[in-house]
Amino acid sequence: MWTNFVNCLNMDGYGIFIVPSWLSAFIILSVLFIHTQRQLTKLRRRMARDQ
Amino acid sequence: MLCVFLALIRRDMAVVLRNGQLSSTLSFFIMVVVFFPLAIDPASLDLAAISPAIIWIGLFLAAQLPLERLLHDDYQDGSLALWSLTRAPLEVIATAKYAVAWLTASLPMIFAALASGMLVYQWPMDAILNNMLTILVGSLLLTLISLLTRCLTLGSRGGKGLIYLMSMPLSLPTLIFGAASLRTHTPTDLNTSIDTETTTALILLSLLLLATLIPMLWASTLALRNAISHQ
Amino acid sequence: MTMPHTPARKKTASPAASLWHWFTPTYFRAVSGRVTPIALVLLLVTLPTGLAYAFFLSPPDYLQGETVRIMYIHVPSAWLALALYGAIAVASGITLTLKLPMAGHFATAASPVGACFTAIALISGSLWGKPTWGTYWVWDARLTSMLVLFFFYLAHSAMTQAFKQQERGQQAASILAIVGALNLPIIKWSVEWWHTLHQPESISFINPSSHIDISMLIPLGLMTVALFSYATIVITARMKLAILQQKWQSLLYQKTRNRS
Repeated sequence: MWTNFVNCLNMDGYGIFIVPSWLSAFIILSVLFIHTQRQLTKLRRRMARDQ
Repeated sequence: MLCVFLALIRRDMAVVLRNGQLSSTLSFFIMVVVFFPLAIDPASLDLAAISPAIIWIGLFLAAQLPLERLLHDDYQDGSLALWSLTRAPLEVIATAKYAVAWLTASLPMIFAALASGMLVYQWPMDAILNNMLTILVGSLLLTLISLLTRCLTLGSRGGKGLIYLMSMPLSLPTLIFGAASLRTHTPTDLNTSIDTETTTALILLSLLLLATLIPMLWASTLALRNAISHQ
Repeated sequence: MTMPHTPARKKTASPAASLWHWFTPTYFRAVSGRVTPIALVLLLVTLPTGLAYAFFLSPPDYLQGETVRIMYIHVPSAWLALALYGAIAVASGITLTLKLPMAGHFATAASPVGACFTAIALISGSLWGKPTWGTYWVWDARLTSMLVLFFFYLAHSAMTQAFKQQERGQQAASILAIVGALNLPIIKWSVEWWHTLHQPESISFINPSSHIDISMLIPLGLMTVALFSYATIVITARMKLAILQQKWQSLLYQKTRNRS
């Protein structure tokens, strides 16, 4: 069980393909989420200021 | 209705001819086609083999140019909205713009493409009819796609990048079938199947035009109506 | 008409008119308040268990070894990318015919999410392709149409933001979405035809769904649910954003009108 995970991280083996694919997915999805939330708060603040 | 159609065509032709846009589109295309072989080592490559790619890229890029002045400028100064108030429906106006764009930009380009294919890329002489038909149908399709993207982006803040981003994927089937149906080599005894392949591609390209002509004109009209109503 | 949202002043309310009230921003606010917590709970349950199955509990594949673990992110994001494009096309049809504003907001909100899923599918697919087929990229029909889908998503989301009036952008983008949806099968077919013409080098595609084991199906399903819940949360938030943008635009418009 634990060896499965260690094998995935093995950068001399297939880890060099597995780690970047998962990492890029998490980075893309979290950037989209943070971007959305930041735009929402920015717009809300601007609307509150102008009213 | 026909009266408005003809009047619009006559007026747009006059505008294009007076601006010297005819020669600018044509020289752009010729520049693309002639620059490619200069950038490639001519001894190392079979130029005829890559000529379809060059010709189609040139046609694709040049097809984006004419409608900028025909549609965008008319939209900005409000004359498009005035034309839409005439008795003619908007479909007729869109078709007239399409006709003028094709007549002034693509029709001269067909001959330029054929001439450069013969002179620069050594296309066989007996394939001239096939290649002319191919470029004719393909340029009709490319102008159609350009019409839609221009109608969609009328009055947009996005620059030219948006237009190319949209028209590139839409033109992909045209480029594929068009490249496949250009005959660039004389068929030898070894590959006689080339003839039937190019003919099949030409038939598929023509079918694509027949299938998309009316829907694309309709979608362009829809986009045009939407653009005018939000002006 | 027993629907609570049907106003009394409209005596002859057509079905389309009463449907309209189910797709108003007010109704959306009530629904999204309920949907977001459910999706959040689902995400918090399925993401850790899915990751645990993907990396710890599922065995390596007998053919592909450990690289099969890329599948658990690649396949769900590809599914979602395609499903979201279908949903956008349907919403675009509604925008053009029934002119429901929430349909336009949905398409606006979903296209960046779909673009991200397509990007993930492309990146993880090419990273999966290198150890299994020996190359990062082939101009195969499936890969090419996925790349084209990415371009369509980019163009669509750029379109929704390219105009001063939000409604204009949404209408233009919906025309593009429908044309793109009709165009994608033609692209896929034309690339396939092009390849049969040229007989590409023999790359055998290992079909992951051919004989799939239950130990692989569990993480696949869990990750699909996790990504679906993520998409629901972000799309709901972005729909809120689109509604606020519309409000902001009309506020600005009123201000400039009062000033002049």
